[in-house]
Amino acid sequence: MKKALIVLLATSLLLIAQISAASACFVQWYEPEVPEAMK
Amino acid sequence: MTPSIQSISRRLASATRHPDRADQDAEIFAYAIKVLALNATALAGIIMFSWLLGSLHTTVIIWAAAFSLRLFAGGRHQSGPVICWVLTVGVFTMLGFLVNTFARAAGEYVLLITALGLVLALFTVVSSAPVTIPSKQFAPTKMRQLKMAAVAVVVFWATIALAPLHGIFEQPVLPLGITTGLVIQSLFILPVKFLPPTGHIGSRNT
Repeated sequence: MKKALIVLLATSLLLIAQISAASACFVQWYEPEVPEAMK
Repeated sequence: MTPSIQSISRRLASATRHPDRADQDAEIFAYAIKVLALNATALAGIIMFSWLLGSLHTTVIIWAAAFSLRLFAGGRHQSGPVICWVLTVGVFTMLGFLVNTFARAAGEYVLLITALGLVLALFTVVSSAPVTIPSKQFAPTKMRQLKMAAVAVVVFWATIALAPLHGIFEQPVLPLGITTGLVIQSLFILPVKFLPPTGHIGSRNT
């Protein structure tokens, strides 16, 4: 159960990171530096 | 805040991926957590304050229009997350309250205001979008795709704003809210500098 929750959370976060990095701006008026691994 | 985000992201990276990629994965998880935390808490703040002011529906319409355009068109950024959060919550709550208050007074000028706002949004998107941060470098093809997506967003909201929905909404908050959201985001796309560059003052007249 714990493993499934971790995988679910990690998949959701990876999806958010990919959408954010692919968009012009996913965040309101401030955006963290895009990680090197995603460039 | 940052140490706890790094701790969570390292734990996630070690639990889900190969050990040799753990550092890179931890960076990606930390980036996503920051994005999620900023957006979720800003939206929660906007909803809470606008609910207290009695303008929740209008504020959510304005936020939805502005955020959907910002996704593809980008815009100005602040130097840190705290000032960003305060500005985001303050501006959207204030705009929702103002639109809600002055919607009745707009009267017969609603269509004119909506049309002018949509034209401004379309002009800024076509002329200046997309605007992004230095750490994101897009290829020209991707830039064109983002611009076209931003144009599609404006057209989508225009169809809703100009649809004959007067029977459903008593006040014209829907077209005015959509227009306000698109216009406020358009202003943050424009490449306007608040301080004139040195040696160029009045150069247009020469």
